[in-house]
Amino acid sequence: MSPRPGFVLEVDKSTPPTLFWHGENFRLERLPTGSRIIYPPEPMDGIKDPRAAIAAALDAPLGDSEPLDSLLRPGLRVAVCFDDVSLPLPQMQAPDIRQMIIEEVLERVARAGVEDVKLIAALALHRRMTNSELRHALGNRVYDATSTAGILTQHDAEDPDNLMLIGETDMGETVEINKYAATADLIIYVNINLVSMDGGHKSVATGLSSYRSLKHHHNVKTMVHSKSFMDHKNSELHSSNWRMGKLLRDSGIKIFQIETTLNTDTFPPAFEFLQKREWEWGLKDRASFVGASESLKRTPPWAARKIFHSVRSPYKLTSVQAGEVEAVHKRTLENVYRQQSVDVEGQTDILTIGLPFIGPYNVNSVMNPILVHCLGLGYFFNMYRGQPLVRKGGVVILSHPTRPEFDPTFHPSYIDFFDEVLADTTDPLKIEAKYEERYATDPWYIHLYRKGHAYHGVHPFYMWYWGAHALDHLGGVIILGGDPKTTRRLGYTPASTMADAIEMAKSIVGRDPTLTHLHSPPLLMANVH
Amino acid sequence: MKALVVEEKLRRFAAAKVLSAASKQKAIMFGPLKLDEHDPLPLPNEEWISVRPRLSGICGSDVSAVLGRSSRYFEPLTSFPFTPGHEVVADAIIDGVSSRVVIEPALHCRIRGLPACRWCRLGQTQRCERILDGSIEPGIQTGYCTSVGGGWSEEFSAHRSQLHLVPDGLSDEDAVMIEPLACAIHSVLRLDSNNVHSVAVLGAGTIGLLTVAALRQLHPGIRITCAAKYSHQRSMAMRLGADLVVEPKQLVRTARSSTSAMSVGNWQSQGFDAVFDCVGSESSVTEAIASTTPGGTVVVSGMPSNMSIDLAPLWHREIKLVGSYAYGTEEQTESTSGYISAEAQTGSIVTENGIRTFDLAISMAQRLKLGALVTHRYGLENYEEAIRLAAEAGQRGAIKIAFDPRPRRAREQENRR
Repeated sequence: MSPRPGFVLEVDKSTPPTLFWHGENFRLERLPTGSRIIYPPEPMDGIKDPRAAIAAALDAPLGDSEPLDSLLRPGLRVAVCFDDVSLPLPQMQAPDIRQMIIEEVLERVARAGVEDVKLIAALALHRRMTNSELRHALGNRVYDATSTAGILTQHDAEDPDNLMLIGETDMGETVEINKYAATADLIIYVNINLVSMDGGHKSVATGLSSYRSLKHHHNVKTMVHSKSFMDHKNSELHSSNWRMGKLLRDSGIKIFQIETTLNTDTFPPAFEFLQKREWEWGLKDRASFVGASESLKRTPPWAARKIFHSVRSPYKLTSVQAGEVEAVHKRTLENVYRQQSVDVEGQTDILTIGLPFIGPYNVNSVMNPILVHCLGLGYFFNMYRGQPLVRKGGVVILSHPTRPEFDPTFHPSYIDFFDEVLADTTDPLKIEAKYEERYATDPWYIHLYRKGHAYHGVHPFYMWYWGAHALDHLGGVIILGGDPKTTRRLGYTPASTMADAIEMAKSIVGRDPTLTHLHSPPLLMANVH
Repeated sequence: MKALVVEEKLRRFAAAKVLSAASKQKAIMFGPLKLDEHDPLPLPNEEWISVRPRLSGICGSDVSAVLGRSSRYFEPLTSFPFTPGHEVVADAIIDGVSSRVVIEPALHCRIRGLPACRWCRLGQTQRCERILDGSIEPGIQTGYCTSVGGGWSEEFSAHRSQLHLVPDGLSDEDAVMIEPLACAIHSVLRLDSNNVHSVAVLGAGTIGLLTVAALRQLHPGIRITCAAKYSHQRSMAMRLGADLVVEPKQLVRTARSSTSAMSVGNWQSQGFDAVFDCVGSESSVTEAIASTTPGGTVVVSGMPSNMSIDLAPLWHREIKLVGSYAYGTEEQTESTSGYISAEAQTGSIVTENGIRTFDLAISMAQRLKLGALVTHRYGLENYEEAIRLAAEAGQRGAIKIAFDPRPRRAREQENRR
């Protein structure tokens, strides 16, 4: 039976309570009659033989690219770059798709007699991956063969000796990328395109770049004009990356792009109920839900986090395409949308979203309040094409505990951002003008980014800017179940119950509002007409 | 006359100490402080006169004493029973003229009828060597000496040299802040300000806030960060001249981020040039040391007690730990002289040893008008509530709590006026 498409349900009296993520737990909320719930499509079937599909993609590239084997010959320098631990979410069950592709790529590289090869984790300003994360992403065979031989590296955006200035785009944007990659005869970039924002020219232009290059598109103005950044043709973030990509190509940097899409089979059987529609829950699903939510209530947050972060997703590969960047990305987007798109008629006054325990930047870590902002107003708010799900001046209600918890190893500058910057202002433009440069150039943050496992000092700023379009668009943000003091520090309003939250929202959007719930998991992309 | 009296009853001190952790109210009720009624104390000699307090502040050190939390170091330097109160604005008849005065409470050589010790000769009366001798019983200040009484009473004895006329234009509330302001000025001047560009003030109770104010007045160019726990303290700190106000738990990180320092564990490569610890607790001293730049200075302004702290960071980062108790005479420097020349109302401010801190405080008080810090006033009969509020001042939105010890009728008349 083929998977059912996503759809929009109108809540009536017979509709059971709706599942909301609430950090490391869940809430069941009964939404007002007449509300809409957007359900994602069911996970598509995966490719039965991923390794064969990978080989086929490398042999039959898209666009004007030659097959990979034809591009390889002895004496070349090859950089094999890959997406970091921020993808996919949660981490997928072994073998990770990166492992399967890189094994195939390295076999071909070796067969062609290429000796000068490096693997580069394309971190941009993300934290360095731990050894166990690298091992999981690459598999034992690749990791053991490359990690001690100096072949496996992680991009260091603060190493002046390993950065190369390529030039400026016609819009004056500085392009600076990893020197090894820039001087390689071929960059092979291995993507996981979990959402439509990922991939394309953004892979190299962002993943291998430096702060002075990134700041041309990771800024408030760009983000406000990315409507949305999940829709690359209407995203200034992507326009900038595309200009940078063209400059890279015109500078003679040759990129062989490999992009992959996954289905949305996000959770293993123990959490199967999360992906089912509530009225279809059987006895086993109800028992699983009650068992999980009741035991999580009694579990301290750190222990619940540990449980959830140990989950490995049973994602399946739905497509793999390789070759010239833009041709590959065009096909990738078709496949992402095929899995995630849901048509929605019209906007809503109030949009409700349950936020999970994980986002791209807290794998094996804490979802701190700034990441709550980023996940809610950055990622989920922007999961649209056409127009935002919520109308201009509308309200978003996010469900999350939003505790004032931070991981000092992974997110040291986030702590200061929360304590110093947000205590002063939550206005992205003021924040950018007053504080960004100091945090971006702080030698301690740079040290921790380079030598430890810290996100770059400027990273919390980007997380805040990620929500700039939403902040510009919305009339209010309410955090259901959020720690009141922390919620207020973010500039939002706390509410203890959904009824309270809706009443508060009414004071902004007026009486008799329309309400729409974005149901997750899994992920969906709303085509709002 | 009515007076609040602290008796030397060890069991009551012990009870207060034990109970104060659970219930301030019970600690006060079963503690050593009692409202007493007795005849006025005899004047020690003709150099002393009776004064009638109009307003008498409750200092942190008073609260510690009443709740049995003071260091036992002070026990032999105190004579029992005593009436607390050393932040006093009072009425006095001086040479037949009714005057409003503030009290400089130190009980040093001159007041005790003794030849000046080496410290008193230098005007450093806070370091007087003879606080156990002379015509009155032991006691470091008015408010800790059985012979002279203290401000938490309807009447007590003051040496003529302790009296300073309150300038016109200063309210009683403004005037009662002069004594603690003198303490803050002295602690600011305990710091060698050469090459000091950034300082932090840890704690925003009365002394913390006054330290911010004194720093801003005496060192206008220094960047001041204040660590304040409560919102009313934060807004007052900004009003008095802080450039940045942070929560106390953020101070160490602020020291790091404001200097772009490197940091690992409790080590930091840079920090504030100086930190004024206006709390005096184990954690505040530890945080003050952690926030200070190598070679910098920690000035301990808040009254400390027994504590156990790791001094390895102090040793390794060569930080100076400076105590600051009360005040005496300050060196005439650019900052003090400049201030005095603009503010001096009398010609008696500069002595051969320098500038009397108390005079500097009177002068500064006229500019700052600090009466707004007096948030609550109580009659002596309501001492339990007053002390309890003082012990919980920050969390209950208070700053300076003061007794109005005058009889109820006088208070009511004053209020009607």
